[in-house]
Amino acid sequence: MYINGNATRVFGADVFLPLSSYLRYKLYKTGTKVVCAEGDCGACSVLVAFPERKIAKGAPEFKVMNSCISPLYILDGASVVTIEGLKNEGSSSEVQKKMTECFGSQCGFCTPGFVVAMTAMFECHKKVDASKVKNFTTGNLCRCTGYEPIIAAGLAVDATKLRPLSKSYLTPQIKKELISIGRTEFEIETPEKQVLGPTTVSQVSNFLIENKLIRIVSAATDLGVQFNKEKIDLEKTITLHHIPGLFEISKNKGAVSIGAKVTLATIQETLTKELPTFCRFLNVFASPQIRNVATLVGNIVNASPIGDTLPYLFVSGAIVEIQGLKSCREVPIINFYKGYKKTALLPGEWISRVIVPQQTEHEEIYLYKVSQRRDLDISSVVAAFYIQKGPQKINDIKIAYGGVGPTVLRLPKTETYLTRQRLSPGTLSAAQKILQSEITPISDLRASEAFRRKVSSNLLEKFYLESGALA
Amino acid sequence: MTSAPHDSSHTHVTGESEFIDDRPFVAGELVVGIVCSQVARGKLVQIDLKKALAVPGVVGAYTAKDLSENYWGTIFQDQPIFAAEDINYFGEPLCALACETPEALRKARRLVEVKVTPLVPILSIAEARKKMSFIAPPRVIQKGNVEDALKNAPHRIKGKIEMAGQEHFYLESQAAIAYPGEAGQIAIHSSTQHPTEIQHVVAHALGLSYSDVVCIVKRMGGAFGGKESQGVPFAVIAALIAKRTGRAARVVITKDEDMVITGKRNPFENDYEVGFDNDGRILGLKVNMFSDSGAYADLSTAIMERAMLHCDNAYFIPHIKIEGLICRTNFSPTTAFRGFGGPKGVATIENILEEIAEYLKKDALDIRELNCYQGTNNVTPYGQTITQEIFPRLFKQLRKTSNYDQRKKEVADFNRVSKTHVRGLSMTAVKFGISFTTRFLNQGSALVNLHLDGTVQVSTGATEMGQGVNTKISTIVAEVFAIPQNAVFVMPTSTEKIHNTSPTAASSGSDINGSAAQLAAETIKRRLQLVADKLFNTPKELRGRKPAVMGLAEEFNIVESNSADHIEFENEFVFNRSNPGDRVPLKEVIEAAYLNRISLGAHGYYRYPGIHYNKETGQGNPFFYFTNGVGASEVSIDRFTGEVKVLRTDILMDLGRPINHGVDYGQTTGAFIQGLGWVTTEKLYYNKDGSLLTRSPSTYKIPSVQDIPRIFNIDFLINDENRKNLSGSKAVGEPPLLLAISVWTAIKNALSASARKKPVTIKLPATQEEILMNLY
Repeated sequence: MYINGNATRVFGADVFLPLSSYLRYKLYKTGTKVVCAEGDCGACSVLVAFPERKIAKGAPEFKVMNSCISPLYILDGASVVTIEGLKNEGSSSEVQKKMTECFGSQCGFCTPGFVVAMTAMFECHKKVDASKVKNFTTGNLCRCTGYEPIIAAGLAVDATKLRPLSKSYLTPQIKKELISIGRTEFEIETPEKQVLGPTTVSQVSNFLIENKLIRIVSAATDLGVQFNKEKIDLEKTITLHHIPGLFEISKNKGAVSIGAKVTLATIQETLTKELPTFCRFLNVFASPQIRNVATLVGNIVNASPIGDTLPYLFVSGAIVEIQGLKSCREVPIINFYKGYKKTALLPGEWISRVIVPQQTEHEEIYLYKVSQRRDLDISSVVAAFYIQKGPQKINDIKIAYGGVGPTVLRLPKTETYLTRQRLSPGTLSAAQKILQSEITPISDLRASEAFRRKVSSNLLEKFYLESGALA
Repeated sequence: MTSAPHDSSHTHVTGESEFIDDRPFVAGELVVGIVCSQVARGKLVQIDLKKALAVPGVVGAYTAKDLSENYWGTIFQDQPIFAAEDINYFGEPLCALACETPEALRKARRLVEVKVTPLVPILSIAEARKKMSFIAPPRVIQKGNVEDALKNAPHRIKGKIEMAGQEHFYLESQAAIAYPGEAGQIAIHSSTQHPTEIQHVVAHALGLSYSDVVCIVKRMGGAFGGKESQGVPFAVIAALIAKRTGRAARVVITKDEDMVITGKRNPFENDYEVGFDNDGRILGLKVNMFSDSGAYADLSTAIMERAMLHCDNAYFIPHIKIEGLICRTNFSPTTAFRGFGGPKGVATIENILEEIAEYLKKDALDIRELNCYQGTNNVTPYGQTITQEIFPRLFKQLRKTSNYDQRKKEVADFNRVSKTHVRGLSMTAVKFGISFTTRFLNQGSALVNLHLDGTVQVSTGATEMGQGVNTKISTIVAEVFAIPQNAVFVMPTSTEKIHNTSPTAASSGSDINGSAAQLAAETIKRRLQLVADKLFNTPKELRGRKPAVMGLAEEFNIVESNSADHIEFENEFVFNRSNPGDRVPLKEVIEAAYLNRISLGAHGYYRYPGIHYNKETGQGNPFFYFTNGVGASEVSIDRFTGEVKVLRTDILMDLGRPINHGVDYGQTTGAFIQGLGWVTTEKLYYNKDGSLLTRSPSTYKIPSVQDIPRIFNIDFLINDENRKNLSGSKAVGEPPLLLAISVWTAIKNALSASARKKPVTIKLPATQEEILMNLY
């Protein structure tokens, strides 16, 4: 990998360190701060480009990500730029100058992360407004400024004064070298740890069969957190990021097929026509730092009952493609979950793709996320409604809720009741009653059972209203 | 007034600013981890360290037995560094492991075996009250005859307001590195607001003299009161290990650990009864305040005192009785947090005013204007007279600039038609008393060293936590010498340069330390004026270095008690007002002073004058002055989900004459948004066993950039009325936080628009769940 334009070869146990630890304690670059160690505050933000991977048209090469949860081995073949790399020939960059002038920094601990996130914004936008600045800094927490001065700094930046990062950090020479690294299989073993970086799909199942404890690490947005919090030790891992096919999106017969390594950001960049509602909804999924690396398949295989994308996939009729040692099978996502955090995956199996039907003209989809804080928060309840309206009545309806049971749930009784019904106040209260009989929410730190029940009924009402039936 | 950038911002933006964990490891430096209790209350039977010590790379393990003095506390010494026999909260430190590497620590930590006999913990204020678990006797502040006033009042409301705690969420978690010196001496770099307390407690704990210990604070990555007292255990543990091993020891805890181990804002539950007339004029008020101190006293008595002293806020109450009782529970010891007790007193009275308005079906702002301090209604419950009639002016001005009356109508119209959202609008005030209520803390000193190249190094007792105290101090000192601000360097705070420092707290950092620095700089300036006066009377050929070195010039003999006020400083030059032709660069005068053996360093000492407060009678003049402000917020609530958005906030602060506009603006926005978190999304969730489950940002939600008001107008009432304080300025750190209470009262206002039962009682914070469950 390259770090701030310097070729960096990492050996042995260091390969398993989070990037932030490597930067701070091995390279003595302490500008990258660690606060939460779980990818939820942005203080550790760095910019990363993988020249070997295709990028969507118009999308920037360098993307912001959290370094605290990223083991170094998933950055094999990357060009990394840290806060130390953002000065312009020894003097502060335009973003840095404006953060100073506009009092965008008080205690200074979050500041490098904000500078990095804002630099990422100006890599792809030359003109910004306040809402753009907010959207690009949603993944960064500041406790001192109240954000207002930071937004002012973003608006004061003259983007023409910024030198594109690729000029210094993705020179043809760097690109060439990194592309070849990005296609090379690797294996690293220390007395305590092991990581495999296969280049073909068939190797993955073999590795999984050979060692039952081995874990597939994709972007580590969950596993990296669990490792930092000492819940798992991640001793044996496989990374999929040298398998080119998994980065691909293909379209055919009214569906899109999304590879296991396709990030949520890439989906947003490339599928706005095919999956418009979903792409908009992704704006409230985590932060830019997470969306830039986290994958849709990762969200699926994580099997969380509050996975933000799952209710959508449930109502849109998504199908997961499961790779086994000898064969490949397809399972509708509604049959994929077998209980709390349990999936249909058998030993040696893993998900290579997910196939999502495109939304047609006659189909409407409504997605809702309820969380304590609107942005960058884990949901207490998520809901998805799919509807095909007839002239007076509902032709077809599918409803899925997350956060109200051990897995994401489809609500077949409510659906059956509503099919061929009118969306009227009368059917609403009846449907709400049925809905209540189908969900089994619990009380936890995010919300109480009573709240989840009330909000679940309310979301049905909100859907009624927004789909035009109660207007 | 300037708007020079924050003095550290140039290195903050490049990542070069150094925080504790950014310091390079020295040879042999140890990584320290803390093992904490997994029960909220119990008897500690045994800590078995054998297996942990057997892990390669583990150098030592330390418990209460290793300390000369295990107990500490700013007010009462009731808190152990390591739990010794009794465990009193979940997360209480039990022992520390010193390791060569983080990997060794990770392995060893889980091998420490702790045997505990669990006991039933106290996990609420209600339970503590039932079990009579209190810290210190009740405190009372009273004026007039409240019982009669209530009895005779045409209307009465009885109620209760529950306010939860708040996590500081400073981004830099608690951290300290101790470096061993010769003869048992220790130097500690700590992320603390109170270096002197660190110095003293470390000395006690290790059996050293104060002079053996130096505590240095370069800067903190945020503090907000959370590092006023609570940096202590981490510094002591680092120092203990440095002393025992002779190696540097680094204690840098994770955010998860910090949130579990350290204390938070005190929760309060206040019962009140208010009597008022048909116009809404308050006739009498009785408040019983109960705070949750957690397991130990920490600063809870002082916090309660400030809460009681802020129960009146901006409003005159003729008959009042406030009683405060502090409950001891089995949570982490609650502590200072921006505003101290202030927000809990102010939220109580603002809530009451909102309820009076609702009861009388009048506009709440009218009720506030009617009740605010004005005319002869200017004596507080504790007997201090309000000398500036500022509130009628503040309310009137913001009423106009925020377009309050028209928007109030629009909100009512909106609520009549909207099926999806409900809105509310409310304006609240803050009158924040400036001074520590403990008199002796209101003192500060500074050391100013003027160098021969014309640059200045300033050391004070103030600690920089991002609030810009160093920027303000450098502005003040630069103004004295008429030199550019970047020629003044505020140095790391160190107990060897300035001793007996007060914590940088109570918003007083700039006032106390800036005034001391100003006095020190003025001392040097006076000497330079006398030197310049002599210099202008010295023939040119006898000025400068050579005549002095050769012994040709007679040495200046100046008398410090004299003055030479006709000598003025301007743009790095010194001139004689009576004869403007006498003009030389400042540097020449500085050199002349040195060559003539006149000191270019000075110590300054300052204390707030005229303050006293009798804690037993609850009467006195506790505050040097007040920082005042008003804020109006409009909120929109999603009827289906309870999600709240702040559509607009207007703030008007009376900050006297700000020393640095940008710094004060940033303090205002920052404090307000922090208060916004306290009143809305920041909910601490404890498990039934007393363990905190919301221990990181994935579960504990401080405001993000998306949560700030859609329209956010901030204005200062620039005025010269505060002549007694530093350059006519006013303290700003805490007061704007209390204006976020306007968001909470706006939510209450919105809910009352749809409520069947009134008054609407909501808890603070008004989380989405709290709101939805109170929506009809």
